[in-house]
Amino acid sequence: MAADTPPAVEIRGLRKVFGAGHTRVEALAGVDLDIAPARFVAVMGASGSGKSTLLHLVAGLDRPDGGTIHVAGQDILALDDDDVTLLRRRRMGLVFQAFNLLDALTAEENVSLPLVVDGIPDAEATRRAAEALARVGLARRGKHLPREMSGGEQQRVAIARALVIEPVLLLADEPTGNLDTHNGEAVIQLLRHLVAEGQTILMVTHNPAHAAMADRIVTLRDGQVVDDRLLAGGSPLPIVGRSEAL
Amino acid sequence: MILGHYTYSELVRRPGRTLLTLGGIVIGVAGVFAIALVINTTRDAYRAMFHDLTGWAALEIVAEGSGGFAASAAGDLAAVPGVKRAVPVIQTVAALLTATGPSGVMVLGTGPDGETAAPSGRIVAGHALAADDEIMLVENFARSLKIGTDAKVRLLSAAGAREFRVAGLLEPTGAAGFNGGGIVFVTLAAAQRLFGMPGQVTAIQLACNEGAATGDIERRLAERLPAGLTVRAPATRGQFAQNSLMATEQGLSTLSAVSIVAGAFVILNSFLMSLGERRKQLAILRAIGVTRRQVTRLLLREALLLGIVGMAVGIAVGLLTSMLLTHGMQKLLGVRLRGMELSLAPFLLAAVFGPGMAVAATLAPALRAAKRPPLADLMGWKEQAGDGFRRRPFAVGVVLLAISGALIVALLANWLPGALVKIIPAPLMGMFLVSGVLLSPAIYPYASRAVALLLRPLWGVEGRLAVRQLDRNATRTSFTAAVLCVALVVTIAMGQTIRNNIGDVEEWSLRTITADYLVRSTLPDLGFSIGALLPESMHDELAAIDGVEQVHDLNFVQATAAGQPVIVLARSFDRQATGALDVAEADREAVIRGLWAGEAVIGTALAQRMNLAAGDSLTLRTRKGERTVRVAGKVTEYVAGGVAVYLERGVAKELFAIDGVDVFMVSARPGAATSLGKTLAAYCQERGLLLQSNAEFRERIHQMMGGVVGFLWLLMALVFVVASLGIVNTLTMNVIEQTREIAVLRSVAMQRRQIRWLVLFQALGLGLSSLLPGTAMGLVLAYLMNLSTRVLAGQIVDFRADAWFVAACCGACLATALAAAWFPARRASRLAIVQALQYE
Ligand SMILES: Nc1ncnc2c1ncn2[C@@H]1O[C@H](COP(=O)(O)OP(=O)(O)OP(=O)(O)O)[C@@H](O)[C@H]1O
Ligand SMILES: [Mg+2]
Repeated sequence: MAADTPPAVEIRGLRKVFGAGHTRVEALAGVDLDIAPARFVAVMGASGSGKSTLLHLVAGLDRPDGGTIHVAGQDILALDDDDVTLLRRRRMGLVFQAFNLLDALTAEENVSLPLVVDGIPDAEATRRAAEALARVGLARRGKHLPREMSGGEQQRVAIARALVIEPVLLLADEPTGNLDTHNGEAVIQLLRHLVAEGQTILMVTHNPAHAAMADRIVTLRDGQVVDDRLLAGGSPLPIVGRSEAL
Repeated sequence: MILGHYTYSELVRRPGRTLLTLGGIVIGVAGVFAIALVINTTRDAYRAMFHDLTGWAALEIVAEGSGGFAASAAGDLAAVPGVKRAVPVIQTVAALLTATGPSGVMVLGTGPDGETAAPSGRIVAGHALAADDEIMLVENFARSLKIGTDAKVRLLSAAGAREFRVAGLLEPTGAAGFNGGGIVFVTLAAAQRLFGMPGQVTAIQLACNEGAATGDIERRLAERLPAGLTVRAPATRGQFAQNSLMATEQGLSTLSAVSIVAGAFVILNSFLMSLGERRKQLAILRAIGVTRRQVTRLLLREALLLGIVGMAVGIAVGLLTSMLLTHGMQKLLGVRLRGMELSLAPFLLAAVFGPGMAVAATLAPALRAAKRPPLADLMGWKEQAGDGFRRRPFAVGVVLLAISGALIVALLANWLPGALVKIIPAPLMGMFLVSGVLLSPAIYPYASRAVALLLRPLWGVEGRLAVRQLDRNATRTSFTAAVLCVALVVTIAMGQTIRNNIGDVEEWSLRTITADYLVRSTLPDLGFSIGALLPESMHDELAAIDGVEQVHDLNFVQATAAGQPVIVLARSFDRQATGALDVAEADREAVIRGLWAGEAVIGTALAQRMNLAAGDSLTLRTRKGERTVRVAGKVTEYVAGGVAVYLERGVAKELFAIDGVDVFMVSARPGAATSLGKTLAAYCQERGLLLQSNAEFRERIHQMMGGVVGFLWLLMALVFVVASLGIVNTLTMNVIEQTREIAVLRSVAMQRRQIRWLVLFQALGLGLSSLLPGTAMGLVLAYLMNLSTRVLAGQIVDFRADAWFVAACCGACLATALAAAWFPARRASRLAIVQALQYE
């Protein structure tokens, strides 16, 4: 980690509790995590270990019960809901396991949505959407509706939608979870490629092979970081602690 | 049994939805019930009033025009087979003058005959009539006038005023219940003196033998009676109000049709919504072996249960509503109603429409739901593009539209038999509205596209997404837009009609009542049954007052013309009075000359009903037998709903033996109006008379209509409430369905405010796409209603489209849509994003 550049994400003592009494679950129990710019960080861990919760909190989709989160130097917990939304709209890209495209909109419209909502003129938004689609290899599918595309293609559209704003941070929760091996590989390759272009990515995955494409793997267990290791730039190295993670 | 429990828990699990459906049923049932009840109550009010008054008498003999006659003229009635007893009475109206002012009272003077001398009610204070200067009053009425036994009161009639002592007070039952106790009992001799008709009576009441056919006796009597006397059932006096009430009744029944249609669509809407939500559950039921028929039955049972509960609540709400409405009608009628006429019919209607419309509205969707392949719903497969365009509702809509169109044409062309004409407007209205709603899925896409095109540049991405969401559920959306559209159509059509008609009435009153002041004994009632006459000698007294230019005398005479119960308006005309007639013919002069020559001018309603025109002849039943007079012309007239005949007063006086005057119309010399007002006020005060200035008279007309019009507005507000319920329903459903999408939008880019707009824009889209068809259909309907007024009421009213009014209705429509969207919008904007992302 380079100490001279400020981290893209800085998390300190992050806690999140769901429910109370009998049903109380401590999803995150004090997580500290710094992510340097232009790095690809994979988060692993057993089901229920708090991976998604961590991502949601970083994205400002939910509020923690303790700790701090800074994204690009900005304390997101100090922002109100509208400002967090603005931050997401302009600086964060989100990719979900379930693609979450809007059925009624074409690929291009889905991709241009964050721009259009931000008041960027239609013409420019469309142009940038087309660029983003080209980056994910879907230059010619812009006019297609989600239901006319395969799962892999839909996920690439979702990635394009996340990229179109040139985000400081790309957050992906099991982006390959709904895809077959081949499509999953393609998506990971795409992400890897983006990091090479300077994109910062925080990705949750269950797939060790996909995690191995990252620069660094953080493993959670019961809401705590139990393992944090650097990999040599996307090379498929054996992963220590893998058995625990699964 | 388990399925039964499922029905119950399904209803309880979604209290909001259940209440909404119930609300729809309640609105429909309450509307139908209240209106049926009120129409029943008011329609029968007069009949019942006169029935009570005579009590035991099955028939009565009266003179044409209702004046006095010598009892001997009728001959030996007891000799007629079937007649048990004949009792001569005086039964006519006077003004009771007390400290609180004049009140119109029916004076019943009965002879020494044991059975009739004592009025039927129990005496609660004082004693029975013992002398000719005594009267008996009804307790509650006396109390309202603050008079007790032994009090001295004056009665004013055409023969002048006389003083009486209150001998006793009666309990308000039987005849004493007449018009809320507005009846005075005196001896026959006293009545003869009071009304200045020595030796005369106004009616001979007849009791018939048990089991004798009244119709036969009536016919036998009619053959024997001399010209000028007639035999009739006492309650027929109530007929005279019927004509005046007809238009109001028709307006109300049309509204009850509207409330049914509106209610049915709330039910349909919320049922479609709940089906949409329960697809998966129903699919599971089907998958585990529940048959289609069981699923249909399950859903129908749910509807039936709601229908029955809704019916009960609807009847309760309807009762309350009808009390309000009856109050308004009482104002219009000018008589005190005895209370609700709780007949079986309104309950039957409620029983049919409550469960009936609940089941009818759910039948089609329930059948369809049962037919769905369970697998698709189980797997949560999305339907193909939207839920598509449905052929069957469209076909039904086309058929209904064709039928209602044909009926409208037949109605306007006067091809329908009279009995049908009377009952057709309400079902016609219902059919028209239903067809409009059913056809809306075919029309809606165009309207929506137009709106989208129009507004594309104005609204941002939220607007575009909103339009798409609307289009995606085209059927649901178009039904909702249709309900909004119906609200607009009804408001525009009814409102336009009411405004035009009121405008016409006010113009009429302006034109016909040109006098500055009206002097009368009491305010008239709608049937002209309880107005007291003033002495004719007053004419000269009034004419002699300083500042008076002219005095015209006016009488309202209940008569029979062309076999119809009509009101004869007997007044004096002079050359200036040509303006006082709202003559439809071009040549006023000729019309007035005709009147002078003894011809009649008839109201357009009578002309329409009997198909009469200028130059035709009209048969009047008079004191001198049947007289045929020439029709000099037609006039717009609102007295007795236009079923009225104008005669020159001198002519009428002779034909109907008029003695006394209903109204003196006093015109002031130029510039003397104000000072004359003061002099007249003093004159009237002294004699216990009622003075109305021209402005007051018109104000009263305004008020009379105000009660009913106010209620019509209330019902229209209700229609908008119904429409807004539909919108809340649809948008909530949209929000629920869009939960995940909204979460995506929130997570990707949108602030809460923008999400709120996303929903508000849907409402706006719904509102806007219903504006154009709604306004067009509303104006067409208003025009058709205007045309049909000519056929139904015989009134020719100018059709004037009021742009401001239409604009206000459109504004109300949009405001309703937006207001209704408020809660769904808030709900959408407050979604917890993380959970919503996981929503299936
Ligand atoms: N909305 C919620 N209400 C209650 N508990 C929750 C909620 N969301 C998450 N949890 C709990 O918090 C813990 C962490 O959940 P989280 O979704 O972060 O796990 P995860 O690591 O993403 O698991 P998976 O790999 O299965 O996606 C779990 O025990 C979960 O049950
Ligand atoms: Mg997860």
